[in-house]
Amino acid sequence: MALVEVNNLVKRYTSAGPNAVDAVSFEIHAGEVFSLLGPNGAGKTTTISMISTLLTPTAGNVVVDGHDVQREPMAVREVIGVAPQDLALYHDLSAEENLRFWGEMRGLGGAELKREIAEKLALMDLSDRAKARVKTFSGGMKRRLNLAVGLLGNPRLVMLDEPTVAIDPQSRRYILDYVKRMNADGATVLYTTHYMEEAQELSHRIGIMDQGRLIALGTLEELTRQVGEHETLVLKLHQEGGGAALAEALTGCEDVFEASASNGEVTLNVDSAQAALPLALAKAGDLGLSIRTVDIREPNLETVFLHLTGRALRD
Amino acid sequence: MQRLRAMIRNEFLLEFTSPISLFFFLVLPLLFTAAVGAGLGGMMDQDADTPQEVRIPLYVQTQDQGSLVEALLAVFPEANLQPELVEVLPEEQFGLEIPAYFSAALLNGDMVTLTLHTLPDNSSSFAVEQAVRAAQGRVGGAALVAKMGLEQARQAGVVSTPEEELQFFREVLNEVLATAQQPPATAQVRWAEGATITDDANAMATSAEQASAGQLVTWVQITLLGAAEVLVSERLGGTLRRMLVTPASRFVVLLGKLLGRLALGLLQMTILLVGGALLFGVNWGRHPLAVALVSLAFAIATVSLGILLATVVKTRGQAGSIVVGLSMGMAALGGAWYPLEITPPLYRQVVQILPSTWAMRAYTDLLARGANLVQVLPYVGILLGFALVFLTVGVWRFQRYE
Repeated sequence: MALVEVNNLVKRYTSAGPNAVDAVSFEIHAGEVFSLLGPNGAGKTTTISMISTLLTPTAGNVVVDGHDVQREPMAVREVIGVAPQDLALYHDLSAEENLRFWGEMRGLGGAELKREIAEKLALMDLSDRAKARVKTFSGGMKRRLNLAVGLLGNPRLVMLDEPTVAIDPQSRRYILDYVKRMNADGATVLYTTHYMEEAQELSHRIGIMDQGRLIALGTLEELTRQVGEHETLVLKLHQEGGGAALAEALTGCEDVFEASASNGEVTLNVDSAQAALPLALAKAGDLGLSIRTVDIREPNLETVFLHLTGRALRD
Repeated sequence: MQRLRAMIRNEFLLEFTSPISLFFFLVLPLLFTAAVGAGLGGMMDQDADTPQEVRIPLYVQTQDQGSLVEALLAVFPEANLQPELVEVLPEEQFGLEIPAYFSAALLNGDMVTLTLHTLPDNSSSFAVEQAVRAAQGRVGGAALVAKMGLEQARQAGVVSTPEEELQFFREVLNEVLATAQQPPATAQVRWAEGATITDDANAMATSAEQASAGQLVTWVQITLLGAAEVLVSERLGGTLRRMLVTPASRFVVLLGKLLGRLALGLLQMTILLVGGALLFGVNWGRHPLAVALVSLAFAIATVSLGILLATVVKTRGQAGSIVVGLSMGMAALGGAWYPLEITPPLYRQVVQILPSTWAMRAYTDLLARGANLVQVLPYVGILLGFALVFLTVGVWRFQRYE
């Protein structure tokens, strides 16, 4: 059963401007982790903002747990918990004071609120810093507290907007593990990210967004199948500036479906890496370029994105 | 209700996270009250317990030697003027020319013109002008009463000779002036710790009263208009958006922010009111409810302006500059730093567009003129009118915030 139904959603900030979100439709089923994957500016945050009642759609509609976000925003807010991309915390207050305030804003009180605060602090490994001011926290601790606030009251739908941006690997691991645990306990999660590894690890289904549009939707297997049985060949060059020339030289060659260059790397979507490698080395030699490393990868979301847009996800 | 309580408590927690906040909220306003009170003391009075003791010299050149000139000169000291008869008016001093027909005109109920020489750049000019007008009106009124009495006396045959008539007229005139000086219903009354109540519409606050009310208006404005800075910070920091996805309506969120700031402003007002009374001997009048109502109405108007500003300004820097600039500007223009009574009439007309002007007028009426609850209600109404306008626009703009 769909907990969230997004139908032809459009958001345009100015009448003359482009659509920040352009006719996006998808469903999120109860109990699943659904990721919106895309580069910065793809429209992920705008989409999540409309689902969470913060932004009014220009067209289309969203239904959460049977409630239309525009007609029944309060009923929708009772169901959702949001951890925004910005660290929406009071940095001059302690972790406990923050949790108490946001808990009360969610309608929690008394013993239930106390229990929730203690539980969330423990879950995020922040119990020993409960009384410390947030401004003394590391970036990872702030992210964990930001997430904890979004989980207060154990909402049925948790929306996490780029929750691992700019944090240390340990905190990132902590958050990813917690999302999996939370989902195992029954929570439905809408997760936005531009890290394909996170989407691959966490998601039951993934929607790939680019330039406001949903360009692909499905499970990881369904998405990679779109690329076919292709492999990805990544060549790292000694000459950082030479990638674009090599990619251009390889574009259109037999068995090379896509070629792109970024940060001194050339990524090729090929039928067989073994067959394509001698050709790539020869073209590099012709251009006076030398290869530092060669990496052969199975199809993944990066390949899918490249296949669909002609650009690398990180661009 | 729980959410509103949480937002109000949060406002207090955030305000007092650092000792510096407390310094700006409490210590600095009281220090300024003391400093400004001392500064104004030289201009307005020498001792807070004896209001308006400074007398302004007024040189008088008269071509009329009649009894009414004598009566007029006798009234001046009550209006803090020290008259001195001279043959020629000195340069660059307050001077009054009384024409030869002064007494006769007043007796006949005719118009009489006095020429007052004021000093354009002197802050006392307006006060002198008002004092002369008041004295002239008082003497003229008394003369008319005396004249009517004389007519009755003539008809009753009480007086027959011109000497008897003059004697009778003078006695009645003096009696009327003496009675007017201490009328039963409007007499200067000493009450509770020596404060003075007067019905004189031109009475001015003492230095301590002016400083206490003025500094209260100034500093509380900074706190209340600070709603703009707080809301902009919440908007830019993301906490406002987070509030708007909790199960609280936009109206509740805005009301919570407004009530939080309002509660802070009212706390600061209470401290400054009590501080003014305890530290500087200011008596806020016999009608605490009237003081409370004026303060509440002023606070609501100002915090509403803060909410409106929050929907207009873009950055924290803008908000901070505008809050401080506007607070200081409105306080200065609205009479918080010097009495409005010393400003030109046109100025007083123009500054009526500011809530601070009406707050200061209400406080001055309460402090210096013994106004009661009913008498300050028009001020309360005007201040709430400001609030209604500011809030209507502010809420309209906030509802459209994305």
